[in-house]
Amino acid sequence: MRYALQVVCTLACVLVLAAPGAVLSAADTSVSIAQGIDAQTLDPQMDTLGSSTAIFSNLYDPLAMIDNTGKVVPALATGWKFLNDTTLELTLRRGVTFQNGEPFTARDVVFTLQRMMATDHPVLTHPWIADIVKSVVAVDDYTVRITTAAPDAPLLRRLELWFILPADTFQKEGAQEFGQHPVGTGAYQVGPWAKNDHLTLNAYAEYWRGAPKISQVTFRVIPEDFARYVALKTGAADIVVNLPPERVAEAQQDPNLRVEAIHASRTIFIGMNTWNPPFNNVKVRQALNYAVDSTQIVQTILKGDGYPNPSPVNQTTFGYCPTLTPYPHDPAKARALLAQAGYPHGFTATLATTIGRYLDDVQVAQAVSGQLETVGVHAQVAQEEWPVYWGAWLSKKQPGMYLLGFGGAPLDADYVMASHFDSTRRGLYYNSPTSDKLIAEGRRTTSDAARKQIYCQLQQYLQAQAPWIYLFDQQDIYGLTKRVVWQPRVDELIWMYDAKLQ
Amino acid sequence: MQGYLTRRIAHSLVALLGVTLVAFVFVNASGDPAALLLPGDATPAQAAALRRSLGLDRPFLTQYGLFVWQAVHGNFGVSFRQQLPAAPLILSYAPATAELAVGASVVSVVVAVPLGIIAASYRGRLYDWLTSVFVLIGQSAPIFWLGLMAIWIFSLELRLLPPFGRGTLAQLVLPVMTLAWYVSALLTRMTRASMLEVLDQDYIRTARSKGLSWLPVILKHALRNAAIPVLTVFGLQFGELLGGVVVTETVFAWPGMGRAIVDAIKARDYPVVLATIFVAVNLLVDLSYGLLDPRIRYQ
Repeated sequence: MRYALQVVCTLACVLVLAAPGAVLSAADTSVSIAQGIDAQTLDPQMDTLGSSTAIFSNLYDPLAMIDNTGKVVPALATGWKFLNDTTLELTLRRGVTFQNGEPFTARDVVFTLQRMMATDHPVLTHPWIADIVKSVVAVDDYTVRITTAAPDAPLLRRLELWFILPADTFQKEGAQEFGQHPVGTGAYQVGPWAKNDHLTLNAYAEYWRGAPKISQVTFRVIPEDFARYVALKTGAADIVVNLPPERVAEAQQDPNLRVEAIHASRTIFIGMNTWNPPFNNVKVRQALNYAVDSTQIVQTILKGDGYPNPSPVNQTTFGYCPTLTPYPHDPAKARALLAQAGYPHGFTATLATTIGRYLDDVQVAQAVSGQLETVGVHAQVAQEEWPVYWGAWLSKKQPGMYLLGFGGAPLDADYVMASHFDSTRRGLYYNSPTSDKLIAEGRRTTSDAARKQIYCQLQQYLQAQAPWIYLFDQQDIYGLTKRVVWQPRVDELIWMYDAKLQ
Repeated sequence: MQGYLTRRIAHSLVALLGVTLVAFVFVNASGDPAALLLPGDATPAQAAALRRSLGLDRPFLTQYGLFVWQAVHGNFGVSFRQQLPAAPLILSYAPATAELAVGASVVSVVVAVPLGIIAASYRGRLYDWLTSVFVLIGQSAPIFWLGLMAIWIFSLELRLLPPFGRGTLAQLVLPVMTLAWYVSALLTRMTRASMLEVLDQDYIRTARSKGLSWLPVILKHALRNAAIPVLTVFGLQFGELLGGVVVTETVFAWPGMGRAIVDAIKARDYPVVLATIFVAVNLLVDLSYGLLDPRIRYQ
């Protein structure tokens, strides 16, 4: 069969193949990376997609980065110290130039942060910065002071998210033009961009860390999972993101390929609208946690590619409490609690889920629904397209249970707490005076050890309060060709300065 | 032709108002673009601020009126996502789609007409059966499946053709073939049916009895007459072809309009959605119908 096909195809395709150059083999000094979606713009403050941020980390530098061990390491800032509870003084790196030769100074930092804080023309990324940061001042060319409205312990980790823009070039070109032809201080400068096809980045020889080892990086856009896998198999792509789990074994057997999995900073959970009955009863919420077996879900649905997590804080994230004991899987206990709460025969509620936003999201929701059924709770799975789902969520209109994922930089427990349980910020579906108090305490305490204790207390409290059915942390799976040496990062950046060829 | 154009454009404008209004209602009713633009940690207050800055807080009819007014002046607004003027943005994807659509059209005619002729000439025999199988697969198999099979066979197993991207001729082959199969299936059937009808006519028998050999009779006498309904169907198929383009572009990572518009709809990027409806779909499709389908032109 294969031989026959080969004959037919050779005849049919000989003309076509004779004309252009070979496409299947990549050039030696360049690396090709395949993601599912293109950057929308190269203005890092106007594109919130993780896949775009992964690209931006090559064009721009932040003031500091978070390494895979969770440590904050210097980047454009060489050092920092807190002058008092609310003032962070940063010393900037000297001798750094943007890719067009413009020198990097404190003005650029001030400009970048002020643009993020503007409320008249809001940028899309970093929605809280205007609430957190009160002022940014250049003390001299290489010293910047950031003053926060209140003590903000996660501030250092937030630095990783702020890609520094060149003040003069940006203002001269305007946001629209800059978004198409940007310059940053990063290891790579932007080359040809064929939208929705590929974006070429060329090494910036004058990079302050030293010239990158790989001379050209091409980010290719391949939306279809299978086509992305074929691109990897045929060597047309060297790194592919989100390798489908069903391809992992096949890729591992290929002598040219390597599979890299990393504990992702995203946590998947089932939230409950704790203002509505029956979820306003803490016993009901606890019962549902006893009824659901997250380990089994990870084993059966995700084929082991996930990490059961009893906490809202992702296990890779600062502040995760390792001493937390998960709810045991105990349907009898769940039924008893439901009876105590006044629901001896269970109840019916909706369980909303996104479709395809998270790996196997619908299947996970269905599995949870099946497990709840064993204690008499009929969770009707409602599959909703993301725009509808998210609009409803943000306007506090998810009536019952909802499946959601949360994570990413700044890899600090405050991030999830503020986003989901803090009445002063966004505790849309649950908040309480006790958790508010602990969250505020965690945010204003500067000692890491003391913060960890506070967050442990907070996580124990939230476990007992059970505003979520705790499920699992995700795993990110990358497929690589063996010619490329590169480690995936917890923060999901595809930072190619770190990469080299075999 | 000029009268036709004027009438056609006037007609298009009325249709456009209706179509954009419907699109406006649907996009508005199915999710808040401001919420979608913001990251997962956004607050309702920030969504409200963004809505205000994008003008999405205005009453529905004001928004629509403003859109029409600006559109009449050639301004379709700026893409929420890509921060670029919407109409030039969507048009920048047009060449890629045109390449695919024209390529598939040409290939489908080149494949379908001879196949249809052969099938008609050998009615009920092996060639006819083989053609039927070709038609059956093309018409019943979903394009994405055909595309994935093509990638599997030609890119993964045989390593003959690249599975994605645009730029070289080799990259054009798989998407064009996939799309062409779908289009040529119907064309083959039409050609066969139309040829069968013509081959039964008296003048064919006359031509044969004059002593003309088979091929000239088929090409000169039969095909010319059989071609008219085939061309009509070909014109009508063009709209369906554009539907197939969306799927083909996604499977083969082809950077065309189909994918761009689907992405825009998913992101509720109205300026792009409406600009596409306005500029691309309506005007271009209407005009190309006229060019390709004589019935419409002379009505």
